[in-house]
Amino acid sequence: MSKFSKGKKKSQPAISTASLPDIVFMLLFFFIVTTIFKEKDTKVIVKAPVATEITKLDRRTDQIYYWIGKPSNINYGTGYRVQVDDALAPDMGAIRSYLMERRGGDLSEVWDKVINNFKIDEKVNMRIVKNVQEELRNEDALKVAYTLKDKK
Amino acid sequence: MAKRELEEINAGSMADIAFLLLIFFLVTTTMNFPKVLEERLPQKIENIIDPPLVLPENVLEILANKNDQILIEKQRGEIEDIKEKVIEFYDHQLNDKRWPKLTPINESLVNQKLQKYKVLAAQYPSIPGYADTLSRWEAKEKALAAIGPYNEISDKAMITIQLDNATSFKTYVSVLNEIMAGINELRSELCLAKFGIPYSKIEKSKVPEDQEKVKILRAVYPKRIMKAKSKNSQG
Repeated sequence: MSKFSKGKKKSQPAISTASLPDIVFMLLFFFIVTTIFKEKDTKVIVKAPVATEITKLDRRTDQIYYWIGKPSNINYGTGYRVQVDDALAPDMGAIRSYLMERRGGDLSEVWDKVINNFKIDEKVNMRIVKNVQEELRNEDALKVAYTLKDKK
Repeated sequence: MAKRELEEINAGSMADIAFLLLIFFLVTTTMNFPKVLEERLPQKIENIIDPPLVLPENVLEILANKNDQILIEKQRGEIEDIKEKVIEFYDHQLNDKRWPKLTPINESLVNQKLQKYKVLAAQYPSIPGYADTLSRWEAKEKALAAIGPYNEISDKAMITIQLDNATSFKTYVSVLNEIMAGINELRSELCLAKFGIPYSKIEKSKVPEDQEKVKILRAVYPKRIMKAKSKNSQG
């Protein structure tokens, strides 16, 4: 009996790491769920109108965002402005050149997969909306969606 | 020097803590999908040679002026009235002259047309029109098999929205929303009656069977909305 207990040393017991994978996985899942890719910062203020017949858009779809509203910074003027993805468009022509740049040299059916997502302030008049959409039509980008608020 | 024995930390409750945290995050994280109304812009046509003649009964005309007032079929109305009109536009008595022509689709008609176009398509394979018509009737045969006899609205029927340049986006959205509310109600009713499930459940489904059902419902109540050119569009 004493043969085994002869060299007995009281060493520090190791901290159990059995649950470490659980924690890591949990964190991983959390980040998978909450990560939103490339949230764009808006330079205009938009109060979207409410609607009831809305559908949910898959966030993974390729989208181009258009914001139309009054600029949040007075330096950008006081009238309604159009922001395309990241930048305010100086004029309507800039929208078309942005689309052309985005499309690249590819003239095939690229636009069938891209949804043009509009976030428009409820007070904006339809003339501006129409002018922007006219540019889209020139480029054959025809899929349009309006982001709205759910009426609850 | 006396060595103190360190007690092993009990990790048994670690899993509980982990689950607690997980549940907390699951509850508090909101997945905000963008909620949208979808629309397809009309293709750019360089020069219209002949604008097609449109019969007045084939069109449900909705007009919103610069003061956001609504005119439905040339009568002053409210936004809430649109839905009712849209339902009437799609679903009315067979011989009502005020609304688009409805064609009852039944077995004898489908069989007759199928036979006719099968022969024609086989005889003249170079003319694409016959093959197209044949595939259209084949789609109707499928719909007939799924939901039984139904009335088909004229393919020239459409809803037009005429806007002023100064009409607010809010008004446009509510008009569009009401039209969709009407169409969705019709589709839901049919869907519930024939398939026993709400339309909203299968609308975005990725199951091929459901997609087939949605296709049929959309064929019976097609969404054909046109944004007509406003009178002061040049200004």
